Amino acid sequence: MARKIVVDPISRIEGHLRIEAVLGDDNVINEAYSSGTMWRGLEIILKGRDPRDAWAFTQRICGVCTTVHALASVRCVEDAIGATIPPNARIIRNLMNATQHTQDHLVHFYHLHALDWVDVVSALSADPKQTSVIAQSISPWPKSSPGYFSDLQKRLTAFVESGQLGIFSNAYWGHSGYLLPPEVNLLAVAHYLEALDFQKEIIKIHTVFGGKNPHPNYTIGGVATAIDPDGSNVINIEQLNMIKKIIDDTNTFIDQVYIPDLIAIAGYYKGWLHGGGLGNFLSYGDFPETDINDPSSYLWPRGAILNKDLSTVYDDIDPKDPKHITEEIAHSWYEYDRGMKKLHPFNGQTKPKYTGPELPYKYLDTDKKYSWLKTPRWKDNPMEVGPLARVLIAYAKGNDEIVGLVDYVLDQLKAPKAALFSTLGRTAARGIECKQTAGLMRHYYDQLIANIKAGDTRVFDDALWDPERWPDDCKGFGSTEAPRGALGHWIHIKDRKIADYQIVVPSTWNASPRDAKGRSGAYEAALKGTPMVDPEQPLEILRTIHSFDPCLACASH
Amino acid sequence: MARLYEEQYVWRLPVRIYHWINAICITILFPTGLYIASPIFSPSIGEAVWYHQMAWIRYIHFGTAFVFLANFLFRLYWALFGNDRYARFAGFQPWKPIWWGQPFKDQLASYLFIRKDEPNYCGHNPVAALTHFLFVFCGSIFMLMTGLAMYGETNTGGFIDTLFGWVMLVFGSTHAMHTMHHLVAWLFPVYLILHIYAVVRHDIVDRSSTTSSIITGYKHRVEECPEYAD
Amino acid sequence: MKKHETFADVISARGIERRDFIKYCSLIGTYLGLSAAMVPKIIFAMETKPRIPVIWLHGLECTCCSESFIRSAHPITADIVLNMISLDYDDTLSAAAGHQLEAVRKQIMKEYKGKYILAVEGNAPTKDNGVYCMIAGDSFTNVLKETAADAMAVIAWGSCASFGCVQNARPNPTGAQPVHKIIKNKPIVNVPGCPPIAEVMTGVIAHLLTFGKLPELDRLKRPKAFYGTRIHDQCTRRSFFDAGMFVESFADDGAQKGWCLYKMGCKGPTTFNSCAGIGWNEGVSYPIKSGHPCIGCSEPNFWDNGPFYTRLAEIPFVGTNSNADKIGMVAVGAAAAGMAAHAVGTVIKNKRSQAETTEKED
Ligand code: HEM
Ligand code: HEM
Ligand code: NFV
Ligand code: SF4
Ligand code: SF4
Ligand code: F3S
Ligand SMILES: [Mg+2]
Repeated sequence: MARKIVVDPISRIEGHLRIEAVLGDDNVINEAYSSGTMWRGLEIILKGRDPRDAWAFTQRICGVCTTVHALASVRCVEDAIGATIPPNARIIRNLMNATQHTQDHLVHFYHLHALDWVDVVSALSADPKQTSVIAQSISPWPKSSPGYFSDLQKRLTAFVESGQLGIFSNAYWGHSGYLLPPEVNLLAVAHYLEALDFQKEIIKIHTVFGGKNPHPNYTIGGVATAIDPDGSNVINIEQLNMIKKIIDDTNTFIDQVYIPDLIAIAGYYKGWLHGGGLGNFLSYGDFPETDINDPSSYLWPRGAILNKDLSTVYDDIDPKDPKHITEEIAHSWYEYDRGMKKLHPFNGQTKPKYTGPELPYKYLDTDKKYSWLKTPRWKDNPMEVGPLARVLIAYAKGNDEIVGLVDYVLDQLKAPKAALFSTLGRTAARGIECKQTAGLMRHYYDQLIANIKAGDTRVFDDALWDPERWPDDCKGFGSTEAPRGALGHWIHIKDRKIADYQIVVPSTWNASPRDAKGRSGAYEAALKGTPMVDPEQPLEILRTIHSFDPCLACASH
Repeated sequence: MARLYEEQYVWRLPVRIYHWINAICITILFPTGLYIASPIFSPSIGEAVWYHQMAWIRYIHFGTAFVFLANFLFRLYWALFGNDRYARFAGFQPWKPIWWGQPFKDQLASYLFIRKDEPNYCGHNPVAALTHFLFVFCGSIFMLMTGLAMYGETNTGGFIDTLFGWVMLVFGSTHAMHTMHHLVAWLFPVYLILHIYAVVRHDIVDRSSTTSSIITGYKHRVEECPEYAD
Repeated sequence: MKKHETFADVISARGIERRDFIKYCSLIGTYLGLSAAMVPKIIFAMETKPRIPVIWLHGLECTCCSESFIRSAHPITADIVLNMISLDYDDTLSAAAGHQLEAVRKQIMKEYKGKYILAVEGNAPTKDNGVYCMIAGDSFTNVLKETAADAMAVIAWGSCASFGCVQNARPNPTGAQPVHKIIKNKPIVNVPGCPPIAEVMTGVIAHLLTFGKLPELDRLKRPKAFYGTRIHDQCTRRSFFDAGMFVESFADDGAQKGWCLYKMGCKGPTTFNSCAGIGWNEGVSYPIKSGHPCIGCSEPNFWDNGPFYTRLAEIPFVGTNSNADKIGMVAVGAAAAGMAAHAVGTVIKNKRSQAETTEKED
C-alpha cells in the first residue's frame, strides 16, 4: 500500500522547504511534492521605490547567495536606463561573483551536504594513523599527520561523551546508507571544521570591495570602491596584496582539500546513481568578458539542453521574449488577474492567496495549490538550473577547461558520462565549478592589476546617476548565474520609480510545484524512483534535495 | 480732525530682551540647521584636519540652541512668575470653550474680512496668542526636545541623553527624528512671514505703533476725536 | 554519568596552551568592553560552565545572520558551536531533518526547561494566521511562542528579529513583526544589523556564558557594548565631515580620496553599530571604508527611511519624491502668497471703508 511521508523542515538548506513523498510497497518514491512554506513579498515591497536602491532590497532575498540578487538588480536597472559601467567595475563585479560561487559551493559541500554521505559517529572508531595515510595518499595538504587526526578524534570523543550532541543530535548515524570507512569519515570531519574556518577568509574579497559580507554593497553605474594604489583611504596596494593571497590560498584549498575529498567520497558512492530528474537544463550564462549586452562574450555560455541530449545546445534564449520565460501558478498560492494562466515577468503579478489546509496540518492538499513558489518555464519546458546545467552546457559546447575537468573527475571515478545525470553528478559538477571559479578569481585579479598598471583606475560612470536623466518609462532585464543557477530580474521603471519588479530565481526553477499540465519541477522529478532503505529516516531524500543546494528564501522571495 | 493718543507700556524690558534673543537665535538656528542637512562649502586645498567648516556650523547651531533653550526657559519663568500683565499665559486657556468665544471669533472674522472693524488689543489678541502658542511655544518645545535628543546621542548614557534620549522612541528611529526636526524647522520661517505681516499690518490699520513696541515697549491707543476738530 | 565538558577542556584537548587560552579570554573581554579586572571571571566561566543549550529558529528571513555568524573569527565558529554552546536545533546546520529534528526541539524544551537560550533569526508573519511562514505544518508564529515559553532568554538576531527589517518594510505584505512584538514576557536582547557583525553575535554569547545573564541593554534592548556609539562618531572619514569635504559623486575626486559620504546619503550619523570600531570580517573593512555610504542597516525601519543615496528622507505620509525641504518651501510659499493676498484684501477693505466714511461725511 502506498504511504505518504513528510520531511519538514528540510534542514541544512536555506529557508523553509517541505517534501511530501508517496512511496510504493517497495519503498520506492513514486511521487514527490516540493513545497516552499515561506513568502515575504519582496516584489510588492519594491514598488514605488528608487530603482537605485533596488539592489539592497533584492539582496536581502538571500544571505547565503548574498550578492547575486544585488548583481542581477544593478544589471537590470542599468539595462532599463541604458547605463554603462567602466571595465574595472565589470571586473570587480565578476571577481565578487566568482568569489561568491567559490565560497558558497565550498560551504555547501562541507556544511550542508557532507553529512548526507559522512557518518560523524563512525569517525570515533577510526584509526587516525590510517586516516593520515589516506589523507597523504590523496593530497599534499599539510594538515594530515596522525597526531592531527588523533587530536581531532579526542576532541570529537569528548564532545560526544558530553551527551550534548548539538547540531549532530538525533541524526541518521549508523544508517546502512553510509558507506565510508571510519577513517574517511574522520578525514571528512576534519575538513568540515577546516572548511568552516577557511570559508570566511575567501569572502574577505567582498569586504574589500563591498565593505562587508554578507550583503556587500553595490551601486548602479559601477562600483563605489575607488582604487588608487598609492592612496591612503581607498583600495591600495595593501588590500590588493591581501586579495592576491586569499586567491592563492583559496585555489590551494580547493585543489588540495575539496576536490580530493569529493573524489574520495564519491568513489564509495558510485553505485548510488539516483536523482537524475528532468534532463532539461538552462543557463543564462555569465562572466561577461566585454559587455554585459553581448552574451557571446560570457565565459559561462548561455544555452539550454533538452532530454539529456548533449549533442544539441539551444542558444536562442531571450529572457525578454514573452514566449521564452513564463511563470504559472496552477499549484501556487497566488492568483492572477482574470484567471490568466501564465505570465512573462514583464507582465508578472504577485498576489498572494493562501488556499492550503488550515494550520496545523498533517499533509498538504497536493492536488490543488501547495507552495509559495511559482512555476517557471522556458518555452513551456520545465528546466533544471545550477552547476550541473552550466557544466553540461559548457561541456556540450566543448569548453576546454570544463571538458578537461569533467573528464578528469569521470576518469578518477571510472564512471561513464551518463553518471553525470544524477544526484552525485550534481554534486560533482558543483565541485568542478568551484575549482573553475577559484581560477576565475585569479583571472579577474590579473585583469584588474593589468588595468591599474595601464593607468585605468576608473570604477564608476556617473552619466546616468541622476534620475532626471532617465527615460520617463523604461524596462530592463538583468541576470546572473547564481551559485544555484539562472537568476533573472525584470524591472519596469516609471517616472523614476519602480512600477513593477519581478524575480525568477534558480531555486524557483528547481523547487517549483507542478504546472497546469501536471509536470514536475526538478526536485520532484529527481526524487521520483529513488528507493529508500528506511522511510522513517529520509537520508535519500536529503541527499538528492541537498544536491540542488536549495534556497527557499530565494525561491519564494 | 484730532486724535487722542494714549501711551501704554505693554512689553516690559525682559520680554523685549527675550523677544530679540529669540528672534536672533531662530535666525541663526534655521540656516545653520539647513546647512547641516545640505552642506555646500568645501575647502578646496589642503588637509581635512586644517578645516572645521562643518564642525563650526554645527557648533554654532548647538551653541545657539542652548541660548535658545535658556531664553525659552526664562520666558516660561516670566510668564508664570513675572507678574507682568501682558506677558502672562494666564489668559490663554484654549482648553476652556469660553476662550474660543466671541473675542476669538470676532478677531478671526476680522482677519478673514467677514467683519469690518478691527478689534484692538493691548497685549495679544486671541488669534495671535493661539498662533504664538502653536508655532513658537509648541514648535520650540518640539525643536528643543528633538534637538536635545539628537545632541545627546553623541554621548549615550550622558546627562542629556539620559534626560532626552527617550524622545527618539516617539519617532521610532534616530533617522526619523532627524527628519521631523528638519520638517518642523520650516514652521519658523512660515511663522515669521505671518508674524511680521500681522505686526506691520496692525500698525498700519490700528496706528498703534505695534512694530516699534517690541523695541520701545510702548503701544498707542489712537482714537479719532471729532469733537476736538480744529 | 556523562561529564559536562567545558570550553577549557576542549581547548586543552586541542593542544592549545594555557597562555593562548588566557589571551583568548582577554580578547573576548576587550570585545565586550570589559575592564581587565573582569578577565579572570571570563577564564573561570570558560573553565567551569557546561555548554548552554541553544535552539535557533528561523522565521521570515534571508539566513544571512547565520552566514554572518559562521564568519566569526574571535572565537571561531567551530569553537562556539562545538564547545561554548550546544547548538541543538538549527535548521541551517543540524544534521537531522523533519520529525527527528522537531523531536530535538521538544526534548530540549523539556529537559532544559527554563535553562535554554532561544535564538531567533527572522521574524513572524501575523497576517492570515501566519501562513506566510510554516514549519512542520504549523505557523512559525506558533512555533516561536511555544519555544519561547520555557526559554531562559531570547536573542533576536539581526534587524529582522529585532526590528522587522525588509519584509516589514511598507506595505509589509505578510504583517511581519519583530520578536519583541510577539514574545512579551521573556528577557530579550536585540542584536540588530542586516546582518549583525559576527563578533558582535559571538560576543553576546560569550557574555551570556561568562556572566550567566544578558549583557547590559540600551533602550532598544541592544547590548550597550556594541550599539553604544554611532558609526559617525567612530568613522575613519569623520575628519572630512568636520572639514566639510564631501564626496558628491562616486566618480569624483573626493571619492578617489576617501572623503566623507554624507552627501551621498550616508546614514552613519543616525546609526548605532560597531562597524567603524570592530569592522567587518576580521576588521578588513566596513561599508563606508569601502566607499559606499552606510544605509543604516542596524536601525529600526531603515528600509523606509530612504532613499539610500540622499541625505533627506522621503516623508512617508506625504509620498514619494517628497522631503522636508520641498514640503517646507511649499509651506513658506503658501504663507507668503497668503500674506500677499491678505494685504491686498486689507487695502481693498480700507478703501471701501474710507469711501463709506467719506460718503457719510458728505
Ligand atoms: C524669528 C523671529 C521672531 C519670532 C520667533 C518672534 C516671536 C514673537 C513672539 C513669541 C511674540 C510675543 C511676545 C511675547 O508675548 O513674548 C512676538 C511679539 C512681537 N514681535 Fe516678534 N518675533 C520674531 C521677529 C520679529 C520681528 C523681526 C519683529 C519686527 C519687525 C517683531 C515684532 C514683534 C512685535 C511688534 C510683537 C508684539 C506683537 C503683539 O502685540 O502681538 N518680531 N514676537
Ligand atoms: C528653531 C529652532 C531650530 C531649527 C530651525 C533647527 C533646524 C535644524 C535643521 C534643519 C537641522 C538639520 C536636520 C537634518 O536634516 O538632520 C538641524 C539639525 C540639528 N539640530 Fe536643530 N534646529 C533648531 C533647534 C535645535 C535645538 C534647540 C537643538 C538642541 C540642541 C538642535 C540640535 C540639532 C542637532 C543635534 C542637529 C543634528 C546635527 C547633525 O546631525 O549633525 N536644534 N536643526
Ligand atoms: N536559488 C537561489 Fe539563491 C542562489 N544561488 C539566488 O538567486 O540562494 Ni540563496
Ligand atoms: S536581518 Fe537582514 S541579514 Fe538578517 S536575516 Fe534579516 S534580512 Fe537577512
Ligand atoms: S562617511 Fe558617514 S559616518 Fe563617516 S563621517 Fe561621513 S557621514 Fe559620518
Ligand atoms: S549599513 Fe550596516 S553594516 Fe554598518 S556601516 Fe551601516 S550599519
Ligand atoms: Mg518572482
